[in-house]
Parts: sequence; C-alpha cells; structure tokens
Amino acid sequence: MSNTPHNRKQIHEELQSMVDGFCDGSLPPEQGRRLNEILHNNPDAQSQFLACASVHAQLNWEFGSFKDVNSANIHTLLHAAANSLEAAGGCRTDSGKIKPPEGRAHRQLWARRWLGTLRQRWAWAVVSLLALGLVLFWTTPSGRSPRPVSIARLTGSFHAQWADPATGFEIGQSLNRERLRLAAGVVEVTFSIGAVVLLEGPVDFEIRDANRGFLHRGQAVARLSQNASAGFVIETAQAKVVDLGTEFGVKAGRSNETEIQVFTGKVVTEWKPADHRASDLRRLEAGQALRISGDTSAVAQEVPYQPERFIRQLPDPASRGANATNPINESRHSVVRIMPAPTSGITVDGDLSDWNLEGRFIARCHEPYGRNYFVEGSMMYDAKFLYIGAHVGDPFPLRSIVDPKTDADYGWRGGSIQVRLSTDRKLGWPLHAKHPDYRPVSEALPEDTSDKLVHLTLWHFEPKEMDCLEIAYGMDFHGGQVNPSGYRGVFKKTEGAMGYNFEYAIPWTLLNAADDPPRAGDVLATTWIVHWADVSGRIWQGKLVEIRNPNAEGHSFYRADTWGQAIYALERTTVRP
Amino acid sequence: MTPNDDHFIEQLVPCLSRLHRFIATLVPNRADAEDVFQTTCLKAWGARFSFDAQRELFPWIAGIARNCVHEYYRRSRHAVVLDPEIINQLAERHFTEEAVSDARERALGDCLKMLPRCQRVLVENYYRDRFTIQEYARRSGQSTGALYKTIQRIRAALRDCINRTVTERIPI
Repeated sequence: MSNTPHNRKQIHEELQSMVDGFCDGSLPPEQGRRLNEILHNNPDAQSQFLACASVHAQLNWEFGSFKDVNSANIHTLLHAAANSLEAAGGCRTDSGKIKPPEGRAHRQLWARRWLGTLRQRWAWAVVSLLALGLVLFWTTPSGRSPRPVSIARLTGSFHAQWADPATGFEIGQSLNRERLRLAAGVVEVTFSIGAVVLLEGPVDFEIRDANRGFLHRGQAVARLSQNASAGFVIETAQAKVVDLGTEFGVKAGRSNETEIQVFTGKVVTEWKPADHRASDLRRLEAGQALRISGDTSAVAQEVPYQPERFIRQLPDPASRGANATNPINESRHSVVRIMPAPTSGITVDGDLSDWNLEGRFIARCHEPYGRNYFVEGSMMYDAKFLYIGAHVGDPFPLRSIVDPKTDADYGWRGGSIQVRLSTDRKLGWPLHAKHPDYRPVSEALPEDTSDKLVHLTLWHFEPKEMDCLEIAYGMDFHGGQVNPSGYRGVFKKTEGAMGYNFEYAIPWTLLNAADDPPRAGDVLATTWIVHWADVSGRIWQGKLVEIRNPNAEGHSFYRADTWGQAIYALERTTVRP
Repeated sequence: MTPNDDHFIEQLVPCLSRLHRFIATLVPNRADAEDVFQTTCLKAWGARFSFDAQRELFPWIAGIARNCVHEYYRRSRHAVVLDPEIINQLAERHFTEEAVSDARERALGDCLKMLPRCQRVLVENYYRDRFTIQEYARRSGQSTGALYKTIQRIRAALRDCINRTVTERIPI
C-alpha cells in the first residue's frame, strides 16, 4: 500500500478499529495477526495503539479494585486478607494473628489453595497487594505494631501547580513519607506534631518523619504552634535547622547553598564543613540570617535579614476573586519572524513605535482573562544585538519584588518574560536537547549542555526600579549571569496602567554568537513564556506560553524539542513614523 | 519485617497505578490483567533482596511485569496474541511516552465528569463489571454490536478530551 495521505488515513482508521476490538476482546484472530503486522517497527502505529489502549487501561484502574490502595490503608487491607485466609482454612493464634500451616511447602500449597478459592473479582485486589502483607505475617512471628496512618496533612493551597500534573494532592489529604514537588504557588503542610510548613513553588520538599523534612530545592517557612513540642527539623544538603519554638525560613538554592532567616524565637543551625572537622553549630535568634555556601568549603556568613523574601502566611483564597483558575492559554503560534532592525537604529526606551513590528505575534489567555492578560510580542536582529520587545497586558504591572541580588533564579515569579532560544545554526530546528534528568546518562547529547542554548528571564525589580536580565545556558542551566554588562533594557507602564511595554537589546556576545550571529534565512528554535503575579508582585499567578512546536507533545523548558521556530526574516522595510 | 522491607513497600505502593496501567495496556482483559498484576507483585516481593535500593524501583518491577506479560501470552488460550517483539517495542515506547501518560491519567477524571450522564453510567458499569455486555444488551434492547460501538465512541471522546486537556496543562 503506498504512503499517500489517503492510505495513511485508511491505516489509521483500520488500526483504530482493531485496537478497539483488542481492548473489548472482540477482535477476530486474523485481525490479531494483522494488528501485530501493523505495529511491527512502526512507531506511529505504536503510539496510536498506546494512546487508545491506555484510555482502556486507565478506565480499568479508575473503576477497578486497586485505586484506593495506599501505604496508609494497606494495614486495613491486611486485616481483610487475614480474615480471608481464616475463611480459607487458616487459624488464629491467641494473639489474634493468623497462623499458617507449618513448613514452607505447606505454606506455599496453602497459599495456592487459598488463592484458588477466591472467586470474587474484588478479592483479587486484596490478594495481589496483600500477598505482601501475608508474607509479613508469615515472616514476623512476633508481628509489629502498625505505623501511624499519616504524619502530615495538606492543609492549604494557593495557585498550586504541581510539577507532575498527575499529582492528585488535595486539601485535607493525609501525607506520609513522600516528596512534594511544587512548580508554582503555595501550599501549607501541617505535621502531626504541630509544625506548619509553607512551601512556595518551585520547591522540592520531602517529608521524612513526623518532625523532620528535607528541603532539596526552593523555599520553606516553618512555624511551630504553641502546643507543639520543640525539635522540628528541616535539613538541606548543607545544613540542619532545629526549631526551638520559632518561625524560620529556609532556602535551598540552585548551587546547593542554604540560607536561614529567623522570624521569631530561636533555632540551632548545624552544618558540616568539608574538611571533616566536627559540625559547626550556631544559635540564631529572631532578626538574624545566615548563609552557608553550597561548595565543599561550606562557609557560613551572616547576611542581611530580609523577611519579605519569604511567604509566611498562606494568601487568602478570597484574594483570587471570583475566578478560581489561573490565567493560562492554549498556544497558537509555532513561529515568530525575527525582523531586521531598522537601519536607522532604535532607542531602548520602552516605546516600540520605532520598531519593525511586521513579525509581531499576539496571544491572549483563556477567558475570563483574555482582556487583561495578553502579549503582543516582537523580535528583531542586527549584526550586534538581538532585540526583544512586547506590549503585555497586566492588571498589576511592574510590581515584582524578586531581588536579582538574592533570588535571581526566581526572577520569573513576580511577573516576567522568559525567552529561550538557540543561536546555533548547526543544531537547526527542531532541537533534540533535553535536561539531563530527562534522559539516561548514556543517551546524553552534546547539545544538552550547549552554550548556544540560552534562557533569558526579563523582569522589573520595583523596589529599585531596576530592569533585570538573568541568563543561563544549556539545558542544564549552567553559567548563570545576573544583570551582566552589555545589555540594555527598559520596562515602562502603558497608559491606564493595565499593562506595560518592555524592550531589550541583548548583544550576541551574551548569547555566545558574536562570532557567527544568526543571519537572514536562518531557522532556529525559540519559545516565549509570559508570567503574571498577584498584586504583591510576589506570588506567581499564571502564565502564557507561545512559539511552540506543534509536533511535540506538551511543552517544557526542559525539552527543547517543544520549542517553536524563530525565522530570521529576509526583507528589510523602513519603519513608518 | 526489616527496615529494608519497610522501605521496599514505601517505594512499591506509589508505583502500583503506573504498574497496573502498563500491564493493562498490553493485557486488555481486566481479569487477566489483574492476574498478571498480582503475579508481578508476588515475584517482586520474592525477589526484593536482589533489588538495589539505591535505584528507582519502577524500572525494576516493570521489567518483571514485562516478563509476566510475555508468560501470559505464551500460555494464553485467547484468540489474539501480541508477538513477543511487539510487546517489547510497545513497552519501550510506553516508557518513552510515560511522562505524558501521567498527565493523561490526571486528565481522565476531569473528562469523565464532562460525559453525559447516561454515557458515564454505561462506561462505569462496563468497567466495574457490574453487567456483561450481553446482559446490558438484553436490558437495554440494543444489540451487543451497537453497545460495543457506543463504548468505543465514548473512549474516543475521552481520548480527544484528554488530548486537549494535556495540551493545555503546560508544566513550568
């Protein structure tokens, strides 16, 4: 069969029909052979098969017997299994535990007989998981006391966006020893001993015990209630902070540095220098702050106390107004044309009237946000600079209080624009680079760490009226620079103060392309993200993503294959006054 | 019960939905999928001492599951059998696309709520095994063929809804 669009459609429909029959058990044998034939060495057909069959598998799980099993209720299921065993011929000891027959061979035979007596579908749910529990009884003559059902609970959430969209944490949910990875927003976790921890995304926090947590990355604020016992601990890669009845903030930075700020009460901070001396200890009191470097020297120094850098209270959900969702969009643009800059030059002043706007794209967030959350983005180039500019709709423009000096890696959070791009003609488009976490080490590509893959974050730091630029390179975000010399940037509120303009001129030297900057006709990769924050300029509220590769699934700045196209335009036009 | 056993169970429980989903994609009959799932869990428990606790558990147990799926098809008396090579290729592709599959699982709950009530009731009854298709056909006066078609159309609608939802949920 030839590979024409019509034939491809026929095969697609044929495969669809066969996969449906496969799932429902109604596929005739000869069609089964045909199914194997089509799937063999055919990635597209395999993806189609998986997309269809996985819905069937998901429905089996959704309405099946295993869905509600978790580490908390496995003990309840153990008791149910024990009762099933008793019904199948086991006996209870005086202590109430089920005593299996003697001898391993007898136990195995008994297990098979017991499994064989089960008729009800639901009982298999008990069996499979509880095979584990059954062996626990067999191998632990003295038994053990059940663990607590939960050691913490999710007690609050504000604009929470979990790193894994499949995460199903809900307010009130019990938590055990588990890892909480929040991409944005704020959540509140209350530990059973009475400690309350606020986590602000992006954050990676692990609940280790009822009185202990590990902050892998991000910021957390811990507060002990008056009834709680002292001794709550937050650890990082470099340090351990013991709460003595207090409120404190901890930050675990990208370079493994740890920062502690004490808001009330006292803490004891312990860290271990690399030269294997005994641990250093320091007691910190309210109003003090300490930073421990992330390198092997683990040097500690006092730093300015800046409580405003931490969120100490869960924002009032009522402040979100009637709309409970976040501003987001459905990407519609896969290409941005980067126009030649006017030969007459431009003035970087926040006024885009001297720009060549022929390549402009316009995008809006979903309703009800479309009117006030939008971007009209443009890019230009010449031999020395890349120009990025836009008019952005924002009800709370230019309020970011994210300090580039201390929190540049969170520059996006208070309202910002992020542009990611490639300046390497040899890599072309689409890119294949990924963050190291997204593929095995053995499959790493040189472009994963290329200096010509650049991540730009642009924002206005309101307290100092500073127009900031943070740059990182490669999919591993190495070589970060904050406000390097050479760029020019201006943010300016628009009339009516329901938005702002910005324009930046970034030299190719900062983009590692000075020796061979992009030229007319080049097709490279780029993507845009516009972030919005709330009225405080502190808490992320929503975002818009544009210039996406329509052929890649989803979008992630960790996967460069999801970035769209930047076409360096050929034509030159003069700007009309 | 040793601390290592504790740790093994702690790692296992969060893997169960992924494991079940992987198996049920390749073994569509629900009862058979549960059998393979149970066998996988038993074998994993029996082999737990050979598991390197420094590694991630899921790839290890998924390898056991893949072998159990092979074993299932070797012994299967079902009319349709997936070839061993096809099982391996589908398993590899499943793991490659799994980050998206997790997003799809989350989207399913929302998409089910958007189904018309009668469709949701039908698909729930079908997947909960409350009725066989033949019983449902008898009660509703429809043919089994028509009911299968309806189930398939509902699955297609859910798939489209999930695709739209996954595209909108763009992680930072």
